[in-house]
Amino acid sequence: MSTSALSYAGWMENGTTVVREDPAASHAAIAALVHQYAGTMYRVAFSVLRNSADAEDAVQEAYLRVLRHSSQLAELRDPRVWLIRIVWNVVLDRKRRTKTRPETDDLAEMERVLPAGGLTADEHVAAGQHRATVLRAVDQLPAKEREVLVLSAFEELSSVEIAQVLNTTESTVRSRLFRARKLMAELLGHTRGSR
Amino acid sequence: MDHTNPPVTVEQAEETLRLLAQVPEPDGLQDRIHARLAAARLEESDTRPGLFARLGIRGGMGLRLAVAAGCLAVVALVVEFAFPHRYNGLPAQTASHGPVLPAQVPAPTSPTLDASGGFQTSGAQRVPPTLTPLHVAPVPKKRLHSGKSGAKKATTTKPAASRTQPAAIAGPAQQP
Repeated sequence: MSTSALSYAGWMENGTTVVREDPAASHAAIAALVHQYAGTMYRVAFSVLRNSADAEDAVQEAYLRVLRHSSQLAELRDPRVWLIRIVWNVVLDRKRRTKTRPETDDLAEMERVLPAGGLTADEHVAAGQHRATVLRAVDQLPAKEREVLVLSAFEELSSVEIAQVLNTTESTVRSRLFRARKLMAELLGHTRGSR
Repeated sequence: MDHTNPPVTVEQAEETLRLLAQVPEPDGLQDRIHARLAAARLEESDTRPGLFARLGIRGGMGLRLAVAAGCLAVVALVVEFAFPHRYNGLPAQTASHGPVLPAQVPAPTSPTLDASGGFQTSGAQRVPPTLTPLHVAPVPKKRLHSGKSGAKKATTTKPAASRTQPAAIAGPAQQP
């Protein structure tokens, strides 16, 4: 557990009743959650939505849900997983509701957001095509395998935590990840073969 | 078709996803979140508080449902004891006594209060005569057949009376 998480846990232990009764304490608790986990939640949202504005909007909506359920804050064991789960559900809802954007928009947004890292113009173009190939293959995966693969890219999330976010078991996560990698290899090989 | 692209392996694809997962958050994200939360709180405080909030009941939906169910149970008990079984046993009395029942339960004249605080005629129930047998005294048929003169008198006197009455009414009209 990180220092911030420890301090959060300490706050919860000390202020279980305070959070429920005192709105000021509840505001302070939510402010602490924003400070600690807003970045993580934004990255989770961006990995699915691939758009900066949409991801930020999803994070804000997730925190609004937290505000609505602030009475549950004192009962939380792991606020990080709880928050990621909330933003994950928000993101999936948005993805279902909104129409799919053109792939070029996603790639342009990624080029804008991702660091260039001193690449030459040719390398930059090649990197963009590489990302486009990968994202196209990811989009072709079945939903369950795709979700596990996207979440597994977050080094801060263990397979147990991914299982908690997806409301399933760790063994299911592992088997889905195995299937996702296998399918990705097939898709990328097929892409390579078609060229 | 692009022949310059090198083949992409699964490891490279995962590296790309990892890169996506490390996107830096935009500047001012936390400030904008705080601003939106503040706006939501303001909006929430502007709206009228609910019944439970005004009564000082705070808690989740489960607690509120429990309170509502308790209130309903109390109301049901009060209603049950305020009007105690007023229809129980009454149908049995009407069945046994028959036409005597209307005499036992007088027709309501005016709603007056009794000692218990309720209306006196609150227990009154109308019993349709079709549901209870009407005891009509048997007609003495033998007497009618045996005494012919009496019967004839009875038959003749009645129409006579009915005849005289219209004549009395029509009398003054024919006089002029």
